[in-house]
Amino acid sequence: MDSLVGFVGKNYVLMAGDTNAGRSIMRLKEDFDKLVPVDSHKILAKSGEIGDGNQFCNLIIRNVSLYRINNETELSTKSVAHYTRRQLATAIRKNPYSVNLLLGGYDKKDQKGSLYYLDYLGSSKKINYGAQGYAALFVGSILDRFWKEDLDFEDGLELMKKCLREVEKRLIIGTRCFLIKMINSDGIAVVEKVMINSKKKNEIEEEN
Amino acid sequence: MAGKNCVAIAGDTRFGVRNQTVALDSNRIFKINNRTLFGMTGLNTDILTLRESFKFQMNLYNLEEEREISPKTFAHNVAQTLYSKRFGPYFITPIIAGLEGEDYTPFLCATDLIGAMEFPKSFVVAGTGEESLMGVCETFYKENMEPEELFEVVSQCLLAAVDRDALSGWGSVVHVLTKDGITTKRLRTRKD
Repeated sequence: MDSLVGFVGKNYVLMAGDTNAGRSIMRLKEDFDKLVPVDSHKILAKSGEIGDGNQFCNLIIRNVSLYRINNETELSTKSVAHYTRRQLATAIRKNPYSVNLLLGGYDKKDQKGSLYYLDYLGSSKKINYGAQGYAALFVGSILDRFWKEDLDFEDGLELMKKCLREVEKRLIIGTRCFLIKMINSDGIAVVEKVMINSKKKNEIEEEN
Repeated sequence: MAGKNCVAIAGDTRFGVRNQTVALDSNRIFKINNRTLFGMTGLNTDILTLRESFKFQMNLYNLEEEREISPKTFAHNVAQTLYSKRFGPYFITPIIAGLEGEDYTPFLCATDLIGAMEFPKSFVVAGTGEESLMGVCETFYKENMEPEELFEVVSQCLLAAVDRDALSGWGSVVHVLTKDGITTKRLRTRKD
């Protein structure tokens, strides 16, 4: 039900998620932000059970915060990914969290963005582009075709909108509204909150 | 596969969730030390967890014993680790390939998910395409192959088997271990 898309560009990471929160056939909330900030330069995009997502993401965010307080240094994206993976892997055989995640982050040390695919079993993979949920089935091939190394921000945003347009058009579960966030050296920024309606002539409206 | 004082281990690099491919560059073959290579197939989360667990155990072994572990001992360690979870197993199939002893005798070991070991002299296979691999390895295997020939045979076996298996492919990596070191080559396979 949840759609998350992310990819790495030239000195930034672009991530988008739909803003629906639902349970079974009912849409509970239409402006639900699934891209939670872990710290100033990392986003954890969550999908799956809403409760598990909240609890698990809180766990990660608080522990990353604790590390920073104890050690007076920020963790790199790779470290956060490994920590998150370890928490998911130990939980799966005890008290599983039904959350699939995309972790995106920008590391000032390497001056590069990175994206990690994490699923509820504790699988983890560093990827250049990817998606979670049903969106992955549609968006995977678009990103395979059009993603390039070191995309400019404008080209990246265009590519992201192309992906979201496809999700809105072809996914039978209505997801019209998406939130796009970017992480670069300055931190996390909300790029756009888009509303896509493929039947209208001007498909994409920006909502502020 | 074993050759004359050399072993080769090859695997594909697809990471997928059932029928959906997520990544094309996942590495499942790990170097334990200069004499031992260790590959795993199966559930990605267990592969990563066990990789970290064995890395930790081997670091501790090196510090305590002040020497490198031999492939045979490592294989037994793997089997013990897997059997310790007999009633809640790790869903992986490991393969250990190494060169044992002063005269670099090839050593191969494969276990099942709960640590039942076998030590064939010729080749070991694992994964979703293991039946195809078994067949093609049986056909092409010869005794006492030199490293170059071993590399060719292992590559062709892997390529042939992943072509038949829907869940394998999307790139592959071949490591050849001789007493001079490890040579690693990446091959292009079918991307479907």
